[in-house]
Amino acid sequence: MIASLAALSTDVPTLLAAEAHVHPMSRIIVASTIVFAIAIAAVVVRLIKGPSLPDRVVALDLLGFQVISLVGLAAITSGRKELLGVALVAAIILFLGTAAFAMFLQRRGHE
Amino acid sequence: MNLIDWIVDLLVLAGATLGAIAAIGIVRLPDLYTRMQSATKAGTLGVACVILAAGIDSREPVVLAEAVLVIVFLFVTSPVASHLIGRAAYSIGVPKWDQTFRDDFADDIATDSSTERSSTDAA
Repeated sequence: MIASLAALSTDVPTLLAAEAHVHPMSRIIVASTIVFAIAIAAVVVRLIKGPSLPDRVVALDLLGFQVISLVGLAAITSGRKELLGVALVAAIILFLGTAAFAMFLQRRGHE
Repeated sequence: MNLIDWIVDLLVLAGATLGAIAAIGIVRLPDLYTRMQSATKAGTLGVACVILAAGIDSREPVVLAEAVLVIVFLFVTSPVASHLIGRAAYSIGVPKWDQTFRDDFADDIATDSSTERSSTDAA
């Protein structure tokens, strides 16, 4: 039993390493992740400070773009291909949210 | 590191640069409409670069097709969302930059009759 578990524990990492290719963690990837984190902080500044509600909606739109970019970077660094589906669903929800905010603003402005 | 890794790194670098440009633009530009231009154009191109890099990095055609699907969806919906927000902001009277010198939409509203204005706004 223990011997088979030990064989399993040695087998699985080699199997995964042979099957899935993971991008080498280069300096550019790390620096890009840090750049996106700083960019998200800057967008949050505009999200808090924005004088009007449309300013905040535009900042939220860009914040969603940066988050989708970070999901793409996570897909590169972890080698998980399923994360692109997460990016697609996040893009759909982002568009629907922005359109709903726009319709809400248009309706509220005329009443 | 082979060629595909270099291409992925290059695309990620371009995407991070464009994302940083979009963030700088949305903090520094003076006006809602100029900020919206920065967020939509630079932001869309940056996220497209990173998603394309993720698709190329997987080395599978199906995953690359999914990445292209995400990019096409973003390129179709992002101008639509930006247009909706800009139109709503204009109609509720968000102030323009004081050095804005051209406003074609105001001329259109001024030349339209009042009945047409109300019908387009109700739609």
